[in-house]
Amino acid sequence: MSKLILLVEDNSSDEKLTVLALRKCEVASQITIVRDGAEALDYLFARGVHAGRDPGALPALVLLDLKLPKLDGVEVLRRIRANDQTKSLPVVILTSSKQDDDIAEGYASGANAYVRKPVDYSEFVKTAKALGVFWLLLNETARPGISR
Amino acid sequence: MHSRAREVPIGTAHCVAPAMKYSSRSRSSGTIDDAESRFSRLSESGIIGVVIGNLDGRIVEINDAALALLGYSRDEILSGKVRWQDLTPPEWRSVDARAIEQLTTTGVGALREKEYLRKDGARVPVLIGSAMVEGDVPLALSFIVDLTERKQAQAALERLRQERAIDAQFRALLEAAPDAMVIVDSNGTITLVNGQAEVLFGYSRSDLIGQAIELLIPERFRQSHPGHRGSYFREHRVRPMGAQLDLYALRKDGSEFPIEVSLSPLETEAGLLVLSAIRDISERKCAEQQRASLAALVESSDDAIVGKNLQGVVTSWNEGAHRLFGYSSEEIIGKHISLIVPPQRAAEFERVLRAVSAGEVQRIDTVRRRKDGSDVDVSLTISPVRNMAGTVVGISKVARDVTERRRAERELARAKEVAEAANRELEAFSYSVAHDLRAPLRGMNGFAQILLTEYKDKFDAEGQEWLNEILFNANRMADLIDALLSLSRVTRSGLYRELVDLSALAHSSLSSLAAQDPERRVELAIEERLFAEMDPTLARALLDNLLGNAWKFTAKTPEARITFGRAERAGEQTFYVRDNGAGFDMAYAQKLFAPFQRLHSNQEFPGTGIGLATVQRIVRRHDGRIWAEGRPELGATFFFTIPVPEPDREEP
Repeated sequence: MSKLILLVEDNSSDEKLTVLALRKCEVASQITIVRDGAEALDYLFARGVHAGRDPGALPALVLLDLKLPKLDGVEVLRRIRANDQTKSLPVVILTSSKQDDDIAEGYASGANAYVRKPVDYSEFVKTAKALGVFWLLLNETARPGISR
Repeated sequence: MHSRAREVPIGTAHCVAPAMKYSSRSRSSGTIDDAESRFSRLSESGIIGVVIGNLDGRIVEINDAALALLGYSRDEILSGKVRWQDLTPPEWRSVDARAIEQLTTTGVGALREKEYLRKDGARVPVLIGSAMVEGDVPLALSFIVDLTERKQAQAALERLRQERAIDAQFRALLEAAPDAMVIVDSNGTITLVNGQAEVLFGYSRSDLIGQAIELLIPERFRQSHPGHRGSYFREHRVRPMGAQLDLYALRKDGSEFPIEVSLSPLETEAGLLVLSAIRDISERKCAEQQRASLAALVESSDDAIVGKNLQGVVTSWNEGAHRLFGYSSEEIIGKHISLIVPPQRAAEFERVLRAVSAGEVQRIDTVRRRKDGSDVDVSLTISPVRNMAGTVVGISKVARDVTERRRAERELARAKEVAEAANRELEAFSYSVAHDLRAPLRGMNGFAQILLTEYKDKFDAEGQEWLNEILFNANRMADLIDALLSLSRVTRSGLYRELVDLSALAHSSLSSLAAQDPERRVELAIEERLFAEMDPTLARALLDNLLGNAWKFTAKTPEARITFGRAERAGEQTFYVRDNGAGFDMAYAQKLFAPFQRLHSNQEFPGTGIGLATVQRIVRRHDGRIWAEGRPELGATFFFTIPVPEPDREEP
């Protein structure tokens, strides 16, 4: 199983901090970063700039921000869930918002978890570690394309 | 009058015999002289009248008694101007004629009763006996006894007997009458009353009889009453008393009551009496007053109030209807109500008319047409009018002009839209505050921490302190943003009220505070079973903030104590949270609830200054009030009220 994490994040500071935090906890072997919703789908469906990629090679976890250029996080999530290849893909919403509406919409669109980014970096590192440990080490993922 | 003959004095017969001989006055004999002198005495005694006249009518002799009886002077009689026939009223002349016939054939006129006409025209009842007197010229001698007194006595006796007979029947009738009956004579003296009169006036029969009728009349009418009474006696006929006047009577106990009186003259031998039938009309007056005040209410109502029969013909129309629809009552009464129904509402009108005729009350908002052709939005309540038997006999309609209300509703809807748009804007703003402002803070914090950890050896102690300042400020700003967002959430979120156990919330809130500060010892007193109808989420936020506040400001108090309870203030149920902590100066009591307003430095007691502002908004959203009492170093008490919501109140 791949230890790839797809990080969908448009804020470069957040991107760097997330990468640093994930690296610190040493669970992810590889972190791929895309900076908007459209590119996230291109990557996952191996099209556009990511057309050469093996569409069967999916990340173990998608960390998805909600507020994104082009397509927002919820829309990206819906398309992931609408596609047979990607519908069982673990997607965790990682965002600054803790608004009830956002949380509810996130789950309604098929998020596996909803995590708020703490402002405090040490908290952030703990959060990233917990996410990595759970989704990359503990969680068993359904194989792509297999469904009942 | 069969008794009359029997009562004639026997002595009269004796008078006749000597008189017969008196006529032979020319003869001289001792016996006759004796008889004559006796006759003269009798004649002069003034008891018996004596008249001598010829059959043609001339009176030749008359004594004083007869003159007194007839009222003429001797000269008038003897002059021949007055013939004895003239002294007899016409109806008695036939009796006289028979007597004269008897006299001429037998020489004697039998004793008989008749009347004479006095000079003054009055009649005098008399007993008379006559005899022819022998002489040159045939003369008739008549003895006359005045029967006036006897007649009067007899008449009185007869009247009494009649009255007794009539009285028994009359009284029975009087007692059977439903009204109080009072009979008065021409002097206004009560002569007879029935049992109903006793009951009505509260006097016994014996109290009333012989009293002036004015006894039963209130003081203020007494003076004018005898005048009215007198004119009735002069021009009597059956009629109601004081038509179109309000009449009042006075009871023995001094109370007054309205009456209706019917007067009937009673012609009796004792003179004219007046029978008054008196009816207490208090109840009718009361009903009339109620009707009048109801009518006044209807007339003065701002609403249009309209009565119709089952065919829809207008039967009543108040001033409100005139104002609303433009038709005056004169114009529309008797016309069909469809006059004010616009054609497009005809079907609805028919449906409503059928339902109300079947006994249902209908409430509809609809449109009616004014006299000037314009339409008006009205709210109608249409009810069946029933008779005493419960049958629907008519329709009443109350119409209210709701044009204003419709306009207000439209304005309210517009205002609501504007407010909602503003809310959406605020929501968008909050969203970007939450999302966009936090990200840079995370960057500041994150990179400062990375410097402090990964690059620690590259900074001296002072440099590290400045990095810590960056961290601290970034964290504080994140806290402020969170507080601001929670405050705006309190203001905007929907309000779903239910019965909330505030005591249970207080326990839970204090437990988590205790768990965060396990080393603190605080004495807690929570009154059990305190309930309020609140939004449960906001109720929790309210108590978390107030108790968190109390917890924070007792941090430096040796024997900290926090109380949650209920008190009554100015008749209102009030909840309170009390602590014995740092307290505050009452001069700042109003500032406590302003956002970001703090009375302590962050070093003293950390905080964002949002907690009490949040608390105040929560209380206000529940239409309650919040206030605080406190003294520096002696603690603070926060009071709040949560009124029971009105049933129909819509929450925004």
